[in-house]
Amino acid sequence: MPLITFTVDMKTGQSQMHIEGISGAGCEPIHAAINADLEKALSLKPTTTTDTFEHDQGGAYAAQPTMKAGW
Amino acid sequence: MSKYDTYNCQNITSQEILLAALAELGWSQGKVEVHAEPQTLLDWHGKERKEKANIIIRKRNTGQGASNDIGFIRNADGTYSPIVSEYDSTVTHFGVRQRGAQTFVESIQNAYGQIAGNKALTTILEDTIPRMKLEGLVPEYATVETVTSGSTVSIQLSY
Repeated sequence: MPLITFTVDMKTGQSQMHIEGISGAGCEPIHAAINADLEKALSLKPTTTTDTFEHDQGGAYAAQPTMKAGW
Repeated sequence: MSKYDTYNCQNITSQEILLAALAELGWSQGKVEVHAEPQTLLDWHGKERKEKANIIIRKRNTGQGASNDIGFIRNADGTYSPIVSEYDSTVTHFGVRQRGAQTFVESIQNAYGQIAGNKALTTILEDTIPRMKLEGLVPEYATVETVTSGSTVSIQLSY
């Protein structure tokens, strides 16, 4: 079951996103949509992005694909 | 002469939210100067210092008679750095220190973090998720749950 978690630290205002169970191609437009809105509302630029698909061997997808991003 | 220190605050990225944070701490409109080009800070004698800032609280508006100007410089990466004299980093401004004995910079960072955090949550809940549903990035039936744990708030979108 796909799960998108967006977490905000209310002390620092810093944000993180974690996407589970969505293929790499499916993650990117979600990441882009969140990124665009945070930049517009808060002038935030992404600080980190990791995608398990980047680390796959032999072109096989990970059993539980994830993407993480931070702002 | 009090030495000025420049602080690295990577989380301060929005002028609008910085001004809102200053207003919350007592520096509302009329007490804060905003300049496209950095302007010179003045010390408590009114003497020009080498430090310049885009957002300035002049010493007459700091709430302290012996204060120096306080400023925020906009950096090339879009972040704002507080420029605060040693004196002003420790004294009370509009009651800031009474709220948990924070320094000036800590007070600004906390106020900014809270306003930015609320704005990020509102943006994701009211703008991003409805638009993602409308554009078919996530299904219309996806459910949203908000979970609070300590100082963090999570929005969980599942389907």
